[in-house]
Amino acid sequence: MAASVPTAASRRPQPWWRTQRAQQWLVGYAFLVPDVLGLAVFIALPILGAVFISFHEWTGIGERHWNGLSNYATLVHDAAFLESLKITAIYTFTFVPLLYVIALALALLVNQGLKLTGFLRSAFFAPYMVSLVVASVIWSFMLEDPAGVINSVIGWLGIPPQPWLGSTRLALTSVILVTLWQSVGYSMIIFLAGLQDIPAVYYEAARIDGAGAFRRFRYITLPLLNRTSVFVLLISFIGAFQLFDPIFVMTKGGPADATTTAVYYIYRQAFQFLQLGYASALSVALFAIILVFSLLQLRVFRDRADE
Amino acid sequence: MAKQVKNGGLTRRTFMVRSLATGASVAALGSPLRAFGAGGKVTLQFWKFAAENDDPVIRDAVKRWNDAHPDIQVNFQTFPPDQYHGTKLTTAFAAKRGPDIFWISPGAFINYVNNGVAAPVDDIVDKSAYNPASIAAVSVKGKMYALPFEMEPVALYYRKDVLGKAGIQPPGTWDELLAAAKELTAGQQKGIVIEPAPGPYQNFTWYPFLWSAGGEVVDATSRKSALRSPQAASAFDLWGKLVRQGYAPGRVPTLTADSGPLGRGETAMQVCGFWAIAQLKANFPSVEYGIVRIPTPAGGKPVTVYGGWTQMINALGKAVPQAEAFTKWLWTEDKTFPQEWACRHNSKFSPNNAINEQCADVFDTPPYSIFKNEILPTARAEPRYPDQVVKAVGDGLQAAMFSGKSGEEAAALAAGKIDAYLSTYKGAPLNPST
Amino acid sequence: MSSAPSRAPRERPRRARRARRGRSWADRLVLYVLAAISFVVLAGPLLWMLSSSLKGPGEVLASPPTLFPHEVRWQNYRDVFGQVPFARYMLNSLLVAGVVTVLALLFHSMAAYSLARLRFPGRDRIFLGILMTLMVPFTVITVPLFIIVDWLGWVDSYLGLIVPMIPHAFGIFLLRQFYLSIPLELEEAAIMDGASLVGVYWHIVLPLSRPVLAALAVFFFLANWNNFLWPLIVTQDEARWVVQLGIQRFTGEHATAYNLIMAASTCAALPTLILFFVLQKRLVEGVKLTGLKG
Repeated sequence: MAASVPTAASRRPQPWWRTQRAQQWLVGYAFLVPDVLGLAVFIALPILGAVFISFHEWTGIGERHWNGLSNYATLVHDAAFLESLKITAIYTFTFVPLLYVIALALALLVNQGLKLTGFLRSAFFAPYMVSLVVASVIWSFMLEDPAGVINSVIGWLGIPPQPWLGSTRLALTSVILVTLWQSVGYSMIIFLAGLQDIPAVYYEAARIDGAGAFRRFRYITLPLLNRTSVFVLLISFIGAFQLFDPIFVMTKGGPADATTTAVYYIYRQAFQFLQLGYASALSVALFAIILVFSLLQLRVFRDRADE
Repeated sequence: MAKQVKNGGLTRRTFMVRSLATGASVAALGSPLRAFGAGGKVTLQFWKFAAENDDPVIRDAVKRWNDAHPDIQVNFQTFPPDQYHGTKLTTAFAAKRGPDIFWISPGAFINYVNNGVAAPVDDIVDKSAYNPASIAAVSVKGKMYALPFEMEPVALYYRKDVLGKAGIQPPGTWDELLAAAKELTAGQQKGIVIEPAPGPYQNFTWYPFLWSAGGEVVDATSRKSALRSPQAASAFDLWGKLVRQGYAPGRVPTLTADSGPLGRGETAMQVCGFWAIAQLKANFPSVEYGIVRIPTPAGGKPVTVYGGWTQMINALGKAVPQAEAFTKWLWTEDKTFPQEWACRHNSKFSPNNAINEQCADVFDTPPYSIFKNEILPTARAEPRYPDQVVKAVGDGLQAAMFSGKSGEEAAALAAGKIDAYLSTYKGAPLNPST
Repeated sequence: MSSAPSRAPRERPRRARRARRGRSWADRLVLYVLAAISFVVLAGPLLWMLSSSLKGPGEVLASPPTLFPHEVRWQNYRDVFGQVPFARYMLNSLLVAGVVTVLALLFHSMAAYSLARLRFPGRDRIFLGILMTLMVPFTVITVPLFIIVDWLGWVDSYLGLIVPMIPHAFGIFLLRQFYLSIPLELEEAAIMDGASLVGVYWHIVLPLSRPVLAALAVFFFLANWNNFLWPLIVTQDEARWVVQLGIQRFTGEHATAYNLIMAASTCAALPTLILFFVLQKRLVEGVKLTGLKG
């Protein structure tokens, strides 16, 4: 809601650009110019460029050839793309809930007022300091079979060493593990802020009324974290759909395409098969899907928030 | 040019300047370089992937050139190997900003030729001095489109101590290979390391197995896949078995071009290339290893593959003659660099027989001599299949190794994808005509 | 388990038995154990990275892996800075990330103020459009973006590294949230006194946003410090490489010096880690103020 600023005290006739309305317009647009111009030139224009390319056949190193909607016609029958969307969906709908739960749990933990809170906070956020590429390199060593760190640890628990990155069954799990590790600290900070904003009196009142820890959590913490939750879920959802780096570093889409997500599939089409036109058409399709899902998510959570 | 034409006539000054310029141009025409007039400096972009071991040698050579040729400067840049071909080169060329000279792999070669990016290099090379197969691999319709400069064959390395302790002879046939791998897999040690990760290197190291069984990826006309044969199926099956039975790891943290697993004792045998000799010497000097040919199926002919990058000149660049001059200098005229590249700094055979002769002191000593005498003569050039074909073959291998598909199913899977791709393929033939 | 540090007055005796002022030692033990496990899981791999950065080339790939290097090899760090101009890369990253962060914060706060406080036609639609740009994976726009940047003449220049990374919907979104939650009185008072809208922004709103800006500064700096793909595409000369590209320099054709990669990664992670450690309180405060609470 924009502020409805009161009219100035003076009633002198003013030049048109000094009226409230004009001021709001002028400053409103002017302040938007740097960012909107930037977004227009460096994101919107490339998106349009990608759409334009999607109507062509182009290797990138050669000339472009117009081929109308034929990329889109191919796309619809592309079973491999559908498979990659499926894998992306499996990844997303596993990753996002896990991230939510773990980040919230960590935030709750850090908020307990234990000793060394600042140190713990830094430690939990630290994985986010390294880029996803570096995180993937580190983890690809830790997940080594048979003698990586992870297998050694589960060995103590009596579990035989698992082929984390060398089996179609476990490869996606390993990717989820790595991305969870890297990004949980970020969401934790956001939850932490949300938690610290909840006034202590609510908990007091609840306790006085005899509510146990779990009920306090369910009826006070969770609802008051609603906006935070929506934000975390939305951001992690959008990010999950665009997963690329760990796949590129650790599995290259394998084994047997078990970790070929949509973005990796598009990357392969564009930069290995040199089918930039087709890759652009795929990107347009992916963008549309993400958009629809995001809008749905917002709608669902807005309705819930209104309760 | 002085614009001193007054009164409709040539002044003496104008005449002097013009004749000097003409004279200079005429003189310069003798060399392959065009005169650019006074102060016309050209800067060539020379790109390759980063290889911290090898790049200093190239940098030295580039510096020598730059010192000797102030008007043709070469700017040598390297990029992370994983992104070099895919993202970096493609994006640069897409914006018409490709480098003037660059290294290219056999897989990407055809795409660049098909799109008119490769400048012919026949003039630079004395073909009679070169290995015919290397020339053929970079030729389309009799014209060479890249300069080959290295040949790195692939063989089977094995730990003498491990095999000796188990009393096993280095395998010569597939049956022996399977038996040896099985017996040598114990505890943390695998019997053999083959490349499990999909990609050009996996295919590259698998081709010897396919070929020795008599199989081919693409038929002679380069129009259809030839993988629907029992020979090809058996090759898929072999690799599938090795991984499925656990004799070979399903995943190695590094590319298996790194001989580390063998050196560290994580495996008894490893399929690796000529470069591994230098690696093992540097990193594991105390490990005793042996080299044999890649095993063949019973009754098969020994054959292996050799790989190697080639140097391509951007036909769309702005200084093609200069680029040609530099390439020619680097690989044929300079006295030190070609030899350094082949044997003083690395271990890579050269397709130029003269260079190999200069390196005789190195190449005639074991273990290099094993490669020279036994492996290299059986080696075929790495095929120049585009990535779609590479992926199709890779899919077959992945299916055999990880999805429990039989060799036949894997071969059919690969063949189907290759046929689908080739049906719409228009371009230079995949198989080089010899 | 209580969810907030207890600041409550003393309990009625009836409730004193329930876990309250100071939890029972069993609860505390559980919490500390959980904290320890989380620490090991989250910080452990980084400690392993640190330890690997001091190992020799053979040992870093050793299987089974060693926890501590057999002999500490500080030479690795000398190699990282000696073999490649890593210090230059770090300076480049610092320059790029720093400039992007400062300019982004300025532009985003302006845009957010405009979207939150001012009224003009198309405002909400513009905001929606801005949000939509979040949903585009970078791979998609790589080639067209490069062509555009080339057309601007910014390839292989600091401009090309910095400017395309400034606009980002995320910052606009958060700042707008924050501005929506500030009470109007301060601004209204200023306007009554005759301040212009620009003046209100500069003298009132911007100073109020300091905590949020600090929080966003950490995020932006981190994102740009860890950026890999765009710097790879837009730079051609090594003189303009950034830290993430530098780390990749140690990947070889046939073998990779992983111990050097670990050392380089540690060097790359250290500045941001220190930055976070110093600013973390501000960071949490700032995020709180963005009004993300329910």
